[in-house]
Amino acid sequence: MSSRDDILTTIRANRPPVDRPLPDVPLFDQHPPASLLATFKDSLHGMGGLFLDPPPSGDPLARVRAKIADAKVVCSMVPEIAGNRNIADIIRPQGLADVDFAIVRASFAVAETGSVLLSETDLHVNAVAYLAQHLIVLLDPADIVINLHHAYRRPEFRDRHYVSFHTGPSATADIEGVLIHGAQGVRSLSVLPLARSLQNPTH
Amino acid sequence: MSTPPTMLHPELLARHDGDAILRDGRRLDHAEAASKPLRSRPEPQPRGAKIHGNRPVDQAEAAACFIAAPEHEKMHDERLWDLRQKRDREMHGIAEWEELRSLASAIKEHTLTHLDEYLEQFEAKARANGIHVHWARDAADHNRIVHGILNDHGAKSLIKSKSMLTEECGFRAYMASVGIEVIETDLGERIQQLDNEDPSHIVVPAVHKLRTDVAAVFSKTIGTDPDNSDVHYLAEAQRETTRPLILAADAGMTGCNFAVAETGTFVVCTNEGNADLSANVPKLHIASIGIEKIVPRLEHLAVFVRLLSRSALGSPVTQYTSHFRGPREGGEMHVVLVDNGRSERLGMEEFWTSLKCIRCGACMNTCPVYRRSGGLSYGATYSGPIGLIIDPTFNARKYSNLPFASSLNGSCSNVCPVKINIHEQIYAWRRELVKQHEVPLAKKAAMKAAGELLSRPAAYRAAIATADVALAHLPRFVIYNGLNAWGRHREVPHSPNQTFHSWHKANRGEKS
Amino acid sequence: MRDNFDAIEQTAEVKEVRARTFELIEFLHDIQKVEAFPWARFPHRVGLHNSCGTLRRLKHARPSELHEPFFSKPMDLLTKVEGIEFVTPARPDECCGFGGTFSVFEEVVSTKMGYDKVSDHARAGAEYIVSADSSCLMHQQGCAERIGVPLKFIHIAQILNGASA
Repeated sequence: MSSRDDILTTIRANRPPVDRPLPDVPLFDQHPPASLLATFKDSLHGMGGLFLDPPPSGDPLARVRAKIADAKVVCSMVPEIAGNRNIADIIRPQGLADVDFAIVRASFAVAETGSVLLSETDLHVNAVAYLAQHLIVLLDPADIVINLHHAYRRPEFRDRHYVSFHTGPSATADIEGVLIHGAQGVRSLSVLPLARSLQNPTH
Repeated sequence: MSTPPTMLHPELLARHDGDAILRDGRRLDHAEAASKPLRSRPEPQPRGAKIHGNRPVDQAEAAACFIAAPEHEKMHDERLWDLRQKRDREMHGIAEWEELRSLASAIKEHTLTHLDEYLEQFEAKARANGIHVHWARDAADHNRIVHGILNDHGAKSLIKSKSMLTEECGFRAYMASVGIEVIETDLGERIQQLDNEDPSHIVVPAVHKLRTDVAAVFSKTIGTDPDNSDVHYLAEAQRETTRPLILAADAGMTGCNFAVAETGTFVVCTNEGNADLSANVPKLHIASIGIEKIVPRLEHLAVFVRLLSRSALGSPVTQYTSHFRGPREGGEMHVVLVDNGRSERLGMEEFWTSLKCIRCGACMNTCPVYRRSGGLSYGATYSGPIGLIIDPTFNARKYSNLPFASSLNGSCSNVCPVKINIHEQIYAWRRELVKQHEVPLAKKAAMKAAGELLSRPAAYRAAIATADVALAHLPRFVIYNGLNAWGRHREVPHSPNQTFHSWHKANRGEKS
Repeated sequence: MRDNFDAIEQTAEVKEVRARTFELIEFLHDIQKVEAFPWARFPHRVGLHNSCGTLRRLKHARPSELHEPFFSKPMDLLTKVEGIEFVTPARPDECCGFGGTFSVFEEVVSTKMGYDKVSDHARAGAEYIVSADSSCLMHQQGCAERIGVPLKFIHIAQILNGASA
């Protein structure tokens, strides 16, 4: 008998003789917050992420440009801003090891937790979101859902192979509880609220 | 009421060390210790239980050694109690918290009672998405399968993220024996790997170590300054020395927090992003998945993800919650579904619900015994309350003392996000181990005598009456000597002038 | 007794005793619904200790682990005592370490828990620790005396019954 058959046979033989029906899971959205964006921003801050308030007038990307001004290697996956490392040229993830800033657009975000959802469609090369020193995320405020119950109804979980919630930067508190950012992944994660342009609708 | 003091050991509070300030000047403190870091003086690290083959692990003795290292004990106790406090804070922010726990428990119990169906569904979906699915009966089977996959790819180095299942399987030792280099990428696991010591806690593997212990380990292994125990310095050193290994690795391995039958997806939660590096940098990704990790549908993930990090660390979610449903372009993905005693445990009437465990560690954080003993005192892969109820299934003899390392206070059951009745199972294991003749004669006799006394009211009253009279009159040296365990660390109780029973009888005149 | 006393044959008499075995606090709070203790006076700072059995099994009060509205039957009763002042330790419902046979088989951990418990109450400013559980009181008193923490220990029944300091 294969291991598979062994295991399944034992499971069937040892099935607990009790009736345990599967419960219905509510959406827990009876009391939505007044502003999803404001709640998202608070949650993001609580997890160590940065929120780039857009300027009252002028270039909405001004703060991003300021951030990346002195960077050596910028890899942009969004049409709104240009980098100097083309993700389409990357054959091996190791080719992204020297990236200072990666700029990406989130598929959507979750107000409850301050998370942004990044998938292989957003990233092109998944590893860029972890090898870059800093991550900048463009987020359309219309793409914010209330909580994780709503999040898991989104199609990304059914039609993509790699889908990851990022909530703030890489962090650890493994040594005496001292908080470290950039434990192994990005040292900072910044979110810029910016609607999707007509040329770049939700894919 | 007066304002409560916030710490048991306020002398541990250190000066502010300037990290992680929020924009409004508040100090960021999620998932870390109390708002200021703890600072203690160097002290040799206690090393945990002595393992002698299959002999029963003496947890009490190892716990005594931990308590005899007061700097370690205080830091450990305060740090984990703080995680418990943070968990409570998150709980109070979620009106539906108790409903979520009930849902999580019900989803898991349903799944476990239909485990074969859901495993088959998961396998079919995963295969359809291009994932290779393997099944491993036990630890040896798991190690052999992974070795085979690595060999097929000529892989000589493997980066991995934290997985308690791989600890169960003795994976690192096996890989070392067949000449494959394994690099742990989680900071806590890496510290333990470099120190040649097991992880002590399932979520924060090096929580028992002071920064001076870590400085000593790193100076010997990755060349840091032995006199520099600044945590940022140490963490940065680990990041910089591990990064090239990640980039050069032939293969990557992760564990799994949840596996969704409906879509063939498996979910890995980390705070560092090291699982995502392990999975997305090398071409080959292998995931070890315990068969109890299955949940039926995507909608159920919301319940578990909302409970996991809040219970474990007191943050709403882990920094990275990644869902893998198939290999990336040009890559290859394998999962190994591992039994290693789980299907047997399913057949244990009193203990099968321990399979609901989502490995959050909340029970360890709240356990007053665990916090004062350190995880290494249990001498097993799983320590703390959950360890007490699953370790005897791995080795009844070796872990026969563990269910006695509990005061049965019940806090663990209350914090468990999936409502495992941990403290009741601990008590049930004591009876079970006595039945299996694994409890030493002296212990059994003492417990039997106590049980008989407590169950017969007249005998109990007579006994305490005599005891109290004896106490009032015997000289001190008779009471305080090596034979009297009670008197070793405590003053013997004063005998009251009247026991409660006699007072009640005299004053109330009712039948008591 | 009510839940677990099933080791012996369940005669009608046994069942009767089990159903009527109320613990004192439950009896005064739930059954007699005592409104006042006019004979009781206890002008001291008091740390309330709910034993793990009374807290989590008998549900004398809300355990801090659960998301439920706060309630405390012992506190309800004790607040009716003139002059009493409560102080709160850092860890109000952490186990004190008695645990029955645990105090013998894991004596070092048990006593460390006891030392921590009494130190916590003392640091909060308690003069007395009050509890409905005699075993916990005995254990904590032994620990306090061994490490020289000047606390006094009293059973809740004594306070409610009008005992003075």
